[in-house]
Amino acid sequence: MRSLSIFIYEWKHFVSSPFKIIALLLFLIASIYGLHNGADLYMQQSNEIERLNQKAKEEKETILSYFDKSEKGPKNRPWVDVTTPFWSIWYTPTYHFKKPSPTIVYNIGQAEQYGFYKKIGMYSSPYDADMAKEIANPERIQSGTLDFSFVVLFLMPLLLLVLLYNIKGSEAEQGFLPLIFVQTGSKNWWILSRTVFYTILLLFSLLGLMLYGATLTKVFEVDNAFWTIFLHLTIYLVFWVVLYFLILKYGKNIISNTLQMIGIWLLFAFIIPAVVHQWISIEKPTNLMIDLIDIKRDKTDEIYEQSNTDTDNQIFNLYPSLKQTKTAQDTIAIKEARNDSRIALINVAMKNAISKLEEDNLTKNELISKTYWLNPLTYFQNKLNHSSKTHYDDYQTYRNDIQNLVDKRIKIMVSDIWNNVKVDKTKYLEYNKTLNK
Amino acid sequence: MLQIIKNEWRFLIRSRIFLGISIAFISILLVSVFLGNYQTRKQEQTHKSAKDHVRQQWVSIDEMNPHSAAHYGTYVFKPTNLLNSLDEGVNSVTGNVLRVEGHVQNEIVHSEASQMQAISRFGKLKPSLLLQYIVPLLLIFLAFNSVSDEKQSGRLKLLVLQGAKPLQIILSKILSVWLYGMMLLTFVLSVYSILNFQSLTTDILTRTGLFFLSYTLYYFIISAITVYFSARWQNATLALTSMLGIWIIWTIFLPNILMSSAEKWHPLPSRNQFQSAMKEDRSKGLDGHNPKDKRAIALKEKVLKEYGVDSLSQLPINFDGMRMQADEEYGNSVWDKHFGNNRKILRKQKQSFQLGGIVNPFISLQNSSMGFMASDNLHHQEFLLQVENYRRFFIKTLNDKQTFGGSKTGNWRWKEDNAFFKSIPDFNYKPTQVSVILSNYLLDLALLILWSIIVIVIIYFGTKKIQIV
Amino acid sequence: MIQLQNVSKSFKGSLAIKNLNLEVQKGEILGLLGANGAGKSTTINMLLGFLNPDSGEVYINDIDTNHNSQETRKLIGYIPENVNLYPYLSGLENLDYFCKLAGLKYSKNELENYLTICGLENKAHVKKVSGYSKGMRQKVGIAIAYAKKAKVYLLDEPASGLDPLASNELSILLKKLASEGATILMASHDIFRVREVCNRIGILKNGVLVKELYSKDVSANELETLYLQFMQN
Repeated sequence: MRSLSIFIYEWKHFVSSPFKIIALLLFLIASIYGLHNGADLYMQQSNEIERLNQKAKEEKETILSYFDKSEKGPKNRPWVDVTTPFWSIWYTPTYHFKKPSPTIVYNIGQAEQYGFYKKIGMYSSPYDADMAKEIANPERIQSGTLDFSFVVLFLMPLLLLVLLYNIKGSEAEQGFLPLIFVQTGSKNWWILSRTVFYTILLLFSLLGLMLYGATLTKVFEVDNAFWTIFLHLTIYLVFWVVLYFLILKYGKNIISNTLQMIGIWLLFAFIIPAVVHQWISIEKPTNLMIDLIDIKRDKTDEIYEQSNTDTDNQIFNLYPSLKQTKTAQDTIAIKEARNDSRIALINVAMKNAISKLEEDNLTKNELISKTYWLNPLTYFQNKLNHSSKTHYDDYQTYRNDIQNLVDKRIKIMVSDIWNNVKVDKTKYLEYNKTLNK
Repeated sequence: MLQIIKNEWRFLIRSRIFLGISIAFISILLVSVFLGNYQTRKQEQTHKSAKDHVRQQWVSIDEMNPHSAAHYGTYVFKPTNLLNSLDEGVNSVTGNVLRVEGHVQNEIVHSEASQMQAISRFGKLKPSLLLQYIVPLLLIFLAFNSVSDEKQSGRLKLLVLQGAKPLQIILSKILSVWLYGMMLLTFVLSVYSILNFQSLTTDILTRTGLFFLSYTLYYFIISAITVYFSARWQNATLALTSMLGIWIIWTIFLPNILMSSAEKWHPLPSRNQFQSAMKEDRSKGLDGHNPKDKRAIALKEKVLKEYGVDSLSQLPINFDGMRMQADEEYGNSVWDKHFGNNRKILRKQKQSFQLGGIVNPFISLQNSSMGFMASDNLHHQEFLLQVENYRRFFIKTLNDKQTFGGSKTGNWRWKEDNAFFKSIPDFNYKPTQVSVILSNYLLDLALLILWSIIVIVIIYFGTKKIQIV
Repeated sequence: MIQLQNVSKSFKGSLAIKNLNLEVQKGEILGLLGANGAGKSTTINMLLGFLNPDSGEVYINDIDTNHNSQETRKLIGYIPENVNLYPYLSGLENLDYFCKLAGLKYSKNELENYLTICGLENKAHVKKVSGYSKGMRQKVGIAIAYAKKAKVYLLDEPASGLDPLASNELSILLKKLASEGATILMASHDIFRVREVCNRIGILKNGVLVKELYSKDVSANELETLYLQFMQN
């Protein structure tokens, strides 16, 4: 009953402080702005994907028209023959997208560091130049977009500070703190009840904001994502409430409490992440992709210059069934097939170099994860990035998918060349279906 | 006034808490300068070995057809700059590797940020992070009760009675707090200069001087406003909370919102739209690899006429190389148009953002800090432009060799020897001189100066309204 | 000499001082008695030049404080109820600092001499003020005024919170200053201390000087009775 009274009276304290009300309003406005930024990115990416799908459809129609008109390809490219597996697959438009999750409305995460669409070709790799991020002002990317997660992770602790900073200190400075302690019996209970009031106020605000965000994209279509994110935010809020409660419990006056609160915020929001970032950069400097460059130049040359026997052995090793084909026995036909199949060998070499590079990145990420226990903000940021599918790992999965699509494309092409497949409209449509799966 | 400043400093030196905080903070600053420097050196090494590796591959070409060499191309790695160890700017989000080849201008890829999960929203522990975000907070903590404390204790009456004028008291308090900020700034730059003594150039010194000036002005603004609030308002808590509010709005809130808005006011095309438009424009020019292209045929006719011969085989030169170069030049003009358009948009975004300095001097500080430390987008664009100019020179040298090197049209098997490839110079980045780009930051400096003047005027007139009792 | 002629002062419509006439001669100590809010501090702040009267004239040694506050402040020594000095400085350093603000340069010996004259023990001179008692801080406060060679001393509740010994030392010091020719005005609640130190006493009630008398004409008990009568009416 006593706690309830403290709790109810806190509302009166709150509404009588214009400073606190303004701070809460600013937080709400910033959150809504952040949610719209997230929703805008969602729309932007979805529209771009839609546009590219349309473009792919048009490309496909053009190629189909060659079959209808019994043409071999574009008139200004006489060497093209779409009835061969090589050119037919070359001209099968395949885009792979990293479709934005509706939960991006809450957290943009690393979405702006990477590209979200990729036109897959036979020579494609997940580290091609066209995997670069969207054209954007790097100064804006550097300062980051003000999304909902930024408001919650960085500004909510400050809002909480504004709401809690004068609890106990104000009474102490006005000289009636002993009276309160005598009346309540337990000072912890009194501070806790007041703190809980603001915690609940913020929880309701967060829930309201998240529900508003859910009206901007179809968040509830993603299984449990809404509640998972809300759970993370609740835990994050409780983390700060506990820290501030301890400061209030042991603090003596408003100014010292405020300074301690802002100090701890600076530590977690700025200093620790910055130190970790600096340490990682020194420990694992940016990879300049020399291994990939070597594959693209030296290894490719090597593959083209090696003996036919070596090439054949490597191709048969990769695709054992090719050894049984008629082409394998035909000393003339094998030349062209061998030539076109070298792509597969280059692809294997590229994959080896990529796996080394990705191992390197993985070690970097593991190092970062090891600092989570002292770096809570980074921990929660990455948790939210996972929930909104904008974490490094999600882009890694996207890259893996791209690699699989390249592998599949090359495998079909090589197999059909060696099996001497003649491509007609039906086969072309089959390619489109298979390669876009 | 000197007496008051001396007394304020005596307080700073004798306060154990303050001394502790100062020592801890100076240690962090020291660590940040050392680590920043160490990282730059390490990055320089990585950069050098990558550059040497790629160059070695190029100079090791025994023999190759020059146009095949244009396809083989080379790679340019974004170099680090000594100044970046103070302020890294956009470097961690821009790419680092740029492939230079014929027919196409590639995008710079492989940014540091794309190689790991998210860590810090405000960048690494560089001196700029501490100088921009934390030092102003320290100044606020130092100044928020500087006058209100005198008022509440009644000492302000005594000070005035002893002959000190309120304006003198306020200015002295501002100067002593400001001097503390200046001391930290000087400390950082001194350590930085000592560590890099042998590499200091006039340009670096000028840039560092301008960097110093920007921070000096910003620290003055922060110190002055805080002391003024402390004098105008009845209690220190109000001065502290309002200054913290201003700090949050200036440093966390507004830069984000203004930058996002600038990007919305002047939108850039999407990458695909940009490339499609480039491709479309390029398709209007000749196709270097397609002898049957209409424009290629027209060029052939023109060249045959010029040389007064009937067929390509009669030409003393290799027309293939000429066609490739014509293709290249058309492509260059297309790139100039589209990339130039992007540069214009980026410039407009920057200007809009710079105008944000009217309401937020932190924006002016951030812009000038990055700019003077050669790590802002402008310097990044300058780098990209230098690479493109190199690409043009590189490809033209190869195409000219194909054309005039002694081969005949259609002879793709013709090869140049190692000496030729060795003779082509490597890309050598020439750091942009501050005198060339200074005009871009005059607005930031002017706004910081304007803010300082406005603050002085407010203090001058506002002090008259301050009640001693 | 202190002179207030028909002085009135109000705050937000509420009258704090009404037609106050008062004069304190050289070598004289005047005690102003009154309850909280009677107008004692307002009177002192007008003499200090921090508040301007709505009407009437305020003079320090025949100089109008309203128009020449910079001049009159040079003549005044002010000792508030709580002399809050810089806690991180010693008594000696505080004195040195405040003297320098007034444009006075003294040697260490001279400063120590002032502190000693004002009753601060020698061993306390170099100790930090944060360790001083209220009485010790008050002595430094008087030393500041004394070193300034103030002609007029304004004291606001100087004896409040002092122990009897410190209070007695203060009385002796004030009398000594008056005997050297200082004009002293002291606002206080302490009837007995005022009766003991001052030559003349004024009773303020709601901004009006309701009674003026010489301390030699009344005993302490009579003064108390008189004061209570005025307060109760």
